[in-house]
This record gives sequence, structure tokens and C-alpha cells, in this order.
Amino acid sequence: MAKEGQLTINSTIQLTKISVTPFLKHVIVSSIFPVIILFIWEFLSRIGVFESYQLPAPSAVLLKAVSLYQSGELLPHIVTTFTRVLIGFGLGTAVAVTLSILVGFWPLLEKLIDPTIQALRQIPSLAWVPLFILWMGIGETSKVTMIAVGVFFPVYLNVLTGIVTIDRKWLEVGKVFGLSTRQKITKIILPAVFPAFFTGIRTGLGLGFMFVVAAELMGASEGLGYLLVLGQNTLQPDTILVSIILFAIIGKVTDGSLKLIEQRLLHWQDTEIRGTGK
Amino acid sequence: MSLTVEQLTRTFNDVTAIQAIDLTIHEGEIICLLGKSGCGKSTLLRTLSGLDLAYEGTVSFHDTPLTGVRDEIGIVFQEPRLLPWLNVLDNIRFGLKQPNQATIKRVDRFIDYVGLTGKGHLYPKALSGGMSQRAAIARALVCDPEVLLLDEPFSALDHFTKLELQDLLLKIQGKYNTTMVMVTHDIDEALYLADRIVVLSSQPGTIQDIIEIDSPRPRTRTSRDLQQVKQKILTTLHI
Repeated sequence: MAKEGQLTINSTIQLTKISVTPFLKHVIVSSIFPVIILFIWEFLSRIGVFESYQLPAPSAVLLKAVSLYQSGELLPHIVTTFTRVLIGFGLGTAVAVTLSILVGFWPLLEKLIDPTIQALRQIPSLAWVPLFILWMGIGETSKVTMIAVGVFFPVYLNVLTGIVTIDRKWLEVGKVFGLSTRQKITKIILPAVFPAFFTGIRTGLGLGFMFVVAAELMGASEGLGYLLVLGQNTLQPDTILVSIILFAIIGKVTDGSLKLIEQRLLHWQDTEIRGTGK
Repeated sequence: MSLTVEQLTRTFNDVTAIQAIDLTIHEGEIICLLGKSGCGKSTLLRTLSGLDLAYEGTVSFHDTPLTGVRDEIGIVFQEPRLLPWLNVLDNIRFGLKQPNQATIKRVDRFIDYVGLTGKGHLYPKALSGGMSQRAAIARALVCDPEVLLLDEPFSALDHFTKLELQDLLLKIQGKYNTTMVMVTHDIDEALYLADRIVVLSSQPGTIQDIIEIDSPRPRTRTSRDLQQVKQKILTTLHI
């Protein structure tokens, strides 16, 4: 009995060892650099190297963030921007996945529409902005559409590449075991395309945030991009910095979540995980 | 007669890979297709599997022309070709049409049988070359094939693993009376395993000689009789 108890304790300790400690270590190690930068920045601001009307001290930015939060302004801005990105991202991804699957499995369609999509891709996506505003006004529709366009291309391109470059050897395994077309798609093609899909949506999400800023700069009454314009017009660099830093945090958290899901789902990939020696 | 090949010719863009092959493969027989690289031995095996149908001549299985892949004919490739997103257990189950209680038990049995006991949960990235090829053999075997086609299955493995897996094939053949057709460029392997060795000449691949090995199994790899046959094969291949 005593032995068993000891075993449990041992295994608990080991569990914490492998899950919590490295994560904490990672957080601490990766925080060293930004913390040093913040201290230098604060120090230089205090001794007057940076003028506060141009680059306020980190503490001033933090105070601004707190006051914006307490006045109840900040959260709606965050929610608005995040919602726009999420809807645009979902829309862009859905259209991209559907189209890339159709094009990927239907050679005729590939010949018909892929060259056009590849040509459209060459247009810098921001160039669409004036046209979308003209068509749809400066409301939510044009903003979400813009984000969706930004998300569309990387997802489409990656999924399509994933589909057309599937290893012939795996497809042959399917053939040997007499899989039907449906089974071939669900059992071989979809799992094989998953890594490319994740590369696509992670790039797409990054672009989504880029486009939400563009959209909100053009005209918005709410959102983190609006905060940027507001800060510029009211000569408040601290407001601009609050917005910029929030973009960094939200971007990192969402990408980190996608990365986590990716690692969970694609654990079978034989890739080296950097820094673990595995 | 399990598989019959008559006047089989396969050309790729005007290059004749194999020409006018006549071969009858009997049930429960182990045939090794031996030849230099590029002699069309893999081409011949692919036509037997039903994966390649663009040939001239006839290939029949139990006197019916082969029109595509069949459940009764299993194949093991040179590379294991395990699906990396499935663990060993699911890879072996991959070919089962309707996984039910009986077939799942069968999978467990074959995991033990090929020597992968306790490795069912591992993913292909964690397997050695030999373990992967064992899993590939099990994947082909769970479908209960009458004929097992093997395309240089052990050529990428180290020597000792190779010897172990050769014995595994003999064990399988002894238990299930599986007909085996194996492509190899390893003369010793052919001598150890085969009932008949089909020696192919190069470009275009034609049957140069069929050598019957009637020494009983288990054979001694270094026996004098086998070495004499080896010399004969080397002479046939002009080496």
C-alpha cells in the first residue's frame, strides 16, 4: 500500500515536471528581452530623452490603458475588432476551403478558374479597399469583406497546394485496399492536407489583423483601428500605443491558440520541435 | 494455378520494360523475381497486383483476367507506406472493410505475430525501418490475402533485420500457405526463400532462366548446394 502511494506521488511530480515547469521556463525566458526593453524605454523617458508628446513612457501607456478600461471604452473596441476579424476569417476560410477543394479535385475547374485566382492574387489586397467602400459603404459589410479577402488567398493557396501535392504513394495504398472515392478523401486526402490547411489559416489570421486595421483606419467609429485614428487626431501617442500593444497581444494569443491546436492535431508529423531536442 | 501470365509486354513511352513474359505461379509457392536494376521486375509485380493495367498480353487470377486490384492479392512495397497520421494499430486496420469484433481480434493477433506486441499505439515517426515494414506486412496480412506480392520489401533494412523478416515470411507461408511473389536483387535472399527463382534479363526484361530450388526448409544460408546455384545465377546474369 505504502509503495503504491509513493508511486502515485512520484508520477504526480513527474507530471508537473514535464508540463508546468518547461512552460514557465519558456514564459520567463521569452519575457527577458521585452522586459529589458521596457526598462530602458521607461528610463530614457524619465530622464527626458523621449518627449512625452512623441513617445510616452511605458508606465504612462499602462495608465492610459487602465483609464480607458475603467471608463468602459476599451473593451467594446477590443470586442468589435476581434469580432470583425473572426467573421472575416471564418468567411474567407470557408470560401477558400470550398474553392480549393473544388479546384483541387476537378481538373477542368482548375484550368478554368485557377489562373484567374492567381492573377487576382497579384493585386495588393489593400487596393480593393476603395472599391469595397464604394460598393458597400463604410459599414460592417465592407470591413468584413476586406478581411475575408485577405484571409482567402493564403488559405486557398495552401490547401490547393496540399491537395495537388499529395504523395502518390499514399493514394496507391488506398487503391491497393480498394477504398471508394469517399473513403479516399476522408481517410487519405483530408488528413494529408491538414498540415497545409493549418499553415494557410495561421498566415490568413495574421493577414486578417492587418486588414482589420486598414478597414478601421478608413472609417470606423469603434475598434482598435479607430483608437489609432483617435490617438492621431487628438495628439495622444499613449492611446495609439495602447492600441498597438493590444494588437500585438491579441495577435499572439490567437496565433498561439491555433498553434496549440495544430500541435495537438498534427502530433504525428515527423518534424523536429525546436529547443526540445526531440 | 493462382496467377498466370501469358505473353505479357509492358512499354513506357516506346521503351519496352518487359517483353513476352510467360509465367505460371502455383498456390502456396514462393517465387522470387531476380535481376539487375531496371530489368522490369517491379513492373512485372505491379501488373500482377492489378495496379498497372496498361499492358499487352494476359494476366489471370484463378483463370479470370485481372481487371484491377483484388482483396485476395496483397502487396507490400519497398517503403512501408504507413499513413503517418495513424498509429500502428489503425494502420494495420486500414485495409479492413468492416472492422468488427472478429477482425479487431485478428489485428491484435497479427500485431503479436509480426513482433510488434505493445507497439500498437506508436505513430510511424517513432518506428524503425524494420518495425515499419513489420507493420506493413501485418497490414497486408490482416486482409487474409491468398497472394502476397512483395516489392523489394527488405532492401532498405539492415542485414540482421532483413534475415529476421525473411524468417517471418517463411513462418507466414508455413502457417497460411500464402502464395508469395517477391522482387529482389539479393541472390542470397532469393536462395533462402524461393521455391523458384525467375531470373530476368535487362532491357527489355525477358525471362532468362527459371531455377527450381528443391532443398528443404529451413535452409542453411551458407550451404554448398545453394552457393553452387548462386554461381550459376551470377553466370546467367553475366557478372
